[in-house]
Amino acid sequence: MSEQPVAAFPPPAGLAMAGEAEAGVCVDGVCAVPSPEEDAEPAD
Amino acid sequence: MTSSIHVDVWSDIACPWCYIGKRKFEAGLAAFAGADDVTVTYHSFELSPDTPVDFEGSAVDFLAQHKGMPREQVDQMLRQVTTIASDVGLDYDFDSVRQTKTLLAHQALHFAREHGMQLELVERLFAAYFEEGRHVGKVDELVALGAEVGLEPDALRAALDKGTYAAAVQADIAQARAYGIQGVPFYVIGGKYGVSGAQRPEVFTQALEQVRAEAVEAR
Repeated sequence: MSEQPVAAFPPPAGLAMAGEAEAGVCVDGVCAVPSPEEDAEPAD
Repeated sequence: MTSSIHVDVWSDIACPWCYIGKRKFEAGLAAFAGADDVTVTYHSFELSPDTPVDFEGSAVDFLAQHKGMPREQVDQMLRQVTTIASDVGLDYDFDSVRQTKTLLAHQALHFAREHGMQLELVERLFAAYFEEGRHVGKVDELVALGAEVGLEPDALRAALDKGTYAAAVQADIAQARAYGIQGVPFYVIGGKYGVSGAQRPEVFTQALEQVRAEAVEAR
């Protein structure tokens, strides 16, 4: 792993999301803990 | 010949899931066969802009006062996060955390990026904040921590005093807004795949493999 040289922002286009629908994330200073079930399985 | 894969990470030093996510991302990267071709850039995100530089009180006090959360709920949340952090080898100590505004820390990370030491400083600042109770909102502390990873202290101090990277920090925050990023950590892999939160390592490995497979197909 290395650092990317300065410059090169990713394009502000739409992103395809990967991963579980709910994982540990902090929003507006609050860092809620997802339930184990939600963390382990994709949400419908 | 293999092409490099860029990973852009939006995070905040004061974000407990970001440090946990860093460990999970690193584990996912380690399991990726092309790890040597992956480049990583950390971008600024201010998780809680209403945080003062100096807050007298604990993490529980801060969340109760600034976010209106019941103290019992905050206590439980922080205990759970501490346990999850421990699972990835991190020793969170929320009793010693010094809540502070992180804009200066982000400026220091931009300085470090320009000097090829951003990853080292990211790691140092996370540990300082969550494990050591250091104050990462003040120039003196940031200069000391920067020096520990090999940054030139006088140059870092001058950059922080002048606000040399203040605009770059705001550009990162604007970019996050353009993506619609609401929370952190947030990863953009290969400029195409978004990963929100401290996901399992396999999620990162699979996304990296997907980007590499698509690059091979496109040749």
